[in-house]
Amino acid sequence: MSDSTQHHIPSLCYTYDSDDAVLLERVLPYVSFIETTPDTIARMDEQGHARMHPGIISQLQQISATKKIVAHGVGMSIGTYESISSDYLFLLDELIRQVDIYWHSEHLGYAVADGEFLNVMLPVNRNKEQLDMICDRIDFLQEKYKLPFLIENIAHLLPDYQPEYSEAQFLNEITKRTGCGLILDLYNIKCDQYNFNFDIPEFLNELNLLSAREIHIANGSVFKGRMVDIHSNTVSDEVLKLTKDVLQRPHNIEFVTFELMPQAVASVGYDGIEQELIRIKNYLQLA
Amino acid sequence: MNTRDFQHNVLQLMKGKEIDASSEDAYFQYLKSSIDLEIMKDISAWWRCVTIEKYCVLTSRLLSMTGDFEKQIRAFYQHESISPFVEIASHQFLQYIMHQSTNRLWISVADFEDKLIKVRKGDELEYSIQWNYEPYSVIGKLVQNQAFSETQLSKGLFETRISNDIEDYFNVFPMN
Repeated sequence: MSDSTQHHIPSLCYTYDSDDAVLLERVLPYVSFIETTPDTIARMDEQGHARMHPGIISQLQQISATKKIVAHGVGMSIGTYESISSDYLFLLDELIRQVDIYWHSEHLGYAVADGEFLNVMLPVNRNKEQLDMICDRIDFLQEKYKLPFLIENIAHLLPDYQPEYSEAQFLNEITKRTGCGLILDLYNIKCDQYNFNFDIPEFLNELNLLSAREIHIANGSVFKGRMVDIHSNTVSDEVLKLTKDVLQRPHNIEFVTFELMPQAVASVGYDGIEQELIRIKNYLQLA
Repeated sequence: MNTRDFQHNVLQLMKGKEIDASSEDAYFQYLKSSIDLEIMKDISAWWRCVTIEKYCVLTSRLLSMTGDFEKQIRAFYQHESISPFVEIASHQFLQYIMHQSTNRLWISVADFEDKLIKVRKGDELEYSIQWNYEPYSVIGKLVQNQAFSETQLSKGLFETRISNDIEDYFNVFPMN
């Protein structure tokens, strides 16, 4: 991906991971992009294998006539020692075969160890071994799919293990070596600031922001004294202000994604989601 | 420590298992009794509860009534290797309750829900589940999320037959 700065106005994107036509109807007027998670919309077939949900595929096909669709994985587990998940790639193959996908992305972490699903996403250790592994895998993905690929910074649940690079240095090395893009998740760095005194200004000053193509914003809750990245609520004013600050720097951001997990749709409500999209769009002056 | 050993140790700690003393460094010595690990395990269990209760509505409500749902989720995770896909993980959870529990009501409800999900997705087989309580009242209370105890239920031997060919997918027969 090119690092040359384009002075365009970013658009708005919403995560859509459920078979909910009413929600779609409410959201679509405000967004230019829809982000979907292949493993979240997967369903079990009669043989017990994960397959894409035909109803949601059909909805995405219809949406793609007027909006751009991006795929954002949670289950690729790009940082797992053994390999990336073949089940996830199977789903991504199915999705890309049927829906016009603008780009795809994954978290810079691992959710599987020794073949077992952890049910949490943990960051990779920032060392040379993991850097080489991640870059080789991104090269493979870019070669296989011939689509732009983005990697996302994730929130930490555990302290760092003997880091050889700062967070920004590690992301810069990955994007420089592979040419992939970056999803900058600003709620995740807020969590890290709250939980581990992560220095956000230093990170942003060190990061090659021109490699970032997408920003994620979300909200979660504080659990046992820790801010947890669970996408369960509307965005805090603090995260919105941070997003505005980032967008005032030179950037190549194409859109800002408001992430809300399907389980939170009922509590925020259709009206609440619509109002939130309007609030974000106005505050950030998005296209 | 290399990536393989590091990730293996993290998994061991998450499952409440000991890690090899020879691979234990200061980081893991800290981690195994840390609040960080405790919170990570809690978050993992919470995510499982949130996702599984969406797909196993009847069974999760039944277990929640006695405060056993999260306990069973944690035990399930400790003993099994679980799929990252929620529908498959939910099926694994119902199977776990059916095979690990000694509570006849839990077994009947989990078995019923597992088969009901199958036939609603197009499975063409007919399934039979045995109950020690009158099923309509149990299922009705669970659907309406009404709290109850086993002492309030009508005892008796019943069979539910579950099939795509039956209106509303199941019917109930007394067995004596």
